[in-house]
Amino acid sequence: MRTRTRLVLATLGLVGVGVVLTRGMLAMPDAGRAADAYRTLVVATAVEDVGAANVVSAVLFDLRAVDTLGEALALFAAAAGLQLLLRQLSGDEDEHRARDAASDRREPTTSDAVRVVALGLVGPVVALSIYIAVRGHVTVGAGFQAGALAATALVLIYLAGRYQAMHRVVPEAVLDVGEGVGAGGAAGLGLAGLVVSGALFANLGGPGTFGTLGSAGSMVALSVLIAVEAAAATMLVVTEFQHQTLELRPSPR
Amino acid sequence: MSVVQTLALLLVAGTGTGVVLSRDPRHQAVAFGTFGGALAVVFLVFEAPGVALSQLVVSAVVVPLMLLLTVSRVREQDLADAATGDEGEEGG
Repeated sequence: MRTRTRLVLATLGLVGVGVVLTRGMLAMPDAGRAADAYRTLVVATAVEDVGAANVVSAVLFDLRAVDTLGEALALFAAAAGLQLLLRQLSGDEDEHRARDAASDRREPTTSDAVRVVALGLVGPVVALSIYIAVRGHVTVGAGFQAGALAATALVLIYLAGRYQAMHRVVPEAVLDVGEGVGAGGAAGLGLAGLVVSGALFANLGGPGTFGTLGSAGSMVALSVLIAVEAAAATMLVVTEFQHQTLELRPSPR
Repeated sequence: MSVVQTLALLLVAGTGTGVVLSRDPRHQAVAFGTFGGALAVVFLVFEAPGVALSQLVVSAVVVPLMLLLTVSRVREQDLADAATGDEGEEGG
């Protein structure tokens, strides 16, 4: 394609997108000023029926928990698909093995400053992750954020130059189990609601005392299961990327 | 829109442009992390702290890490090809 044609096409596209975006934005209500019936209903339901002070979490983990399960399954499929694509087949020739196993292999060193900061952050990040997983219905965040934070804690160990320690803390087999248990448990919790109350993801355990840790019933359990699923899936994806780059490859069986 | 919100949006515009203008993938990974951090600030000042938290973790930590690992893999492959004299071989 000639440069001139490209330029004309790009200009047309940009102008088109620009016009649509600008018109759409101008028609939107000001940030935080939208008023519609659904919002009013959702806030009342979240507070009265679900018992969650965090209405966003109530929507994600109770009122629209089906969508959250869909998201968790998408994450599950992404991690599983990546593992399937990047698996080592017995017929693969292992061109890197000699170089990986060479005794004079140069190992990159991590500076002390990075190591201290990264390892120092691991504890607080783990604590924050647990806090968010179990308190998503009262304060900010919930399962997905907690899971991503848990994965970040492990990535921090790796950033500190402790690749093998990272896999000793949480071996890959544990990640596989965690991914299955998280996704399967979330689906099971939904089915339990169906069996007990006749609606998929019906809240079990009632609203409880508003604003306390014990409120919002089974929503908290779903948040924790999603956290496990998200953490395991994220780490499985990161691990596959690491296998490609860093690992002494095992001999093909 | 408040001053803080305007500043946060301008920060996103600036860091986003920075990502597009950096040509080396390693620089892009770091610039993208900064861009993700700026987006997290926008979500925070527009009263979506949960989204800000996800944004911060995913965009400032996980995605740059994957980018860097991929770049590292490609560079290792290039070094290996240069060492063995294989020019056009595809990375496995």
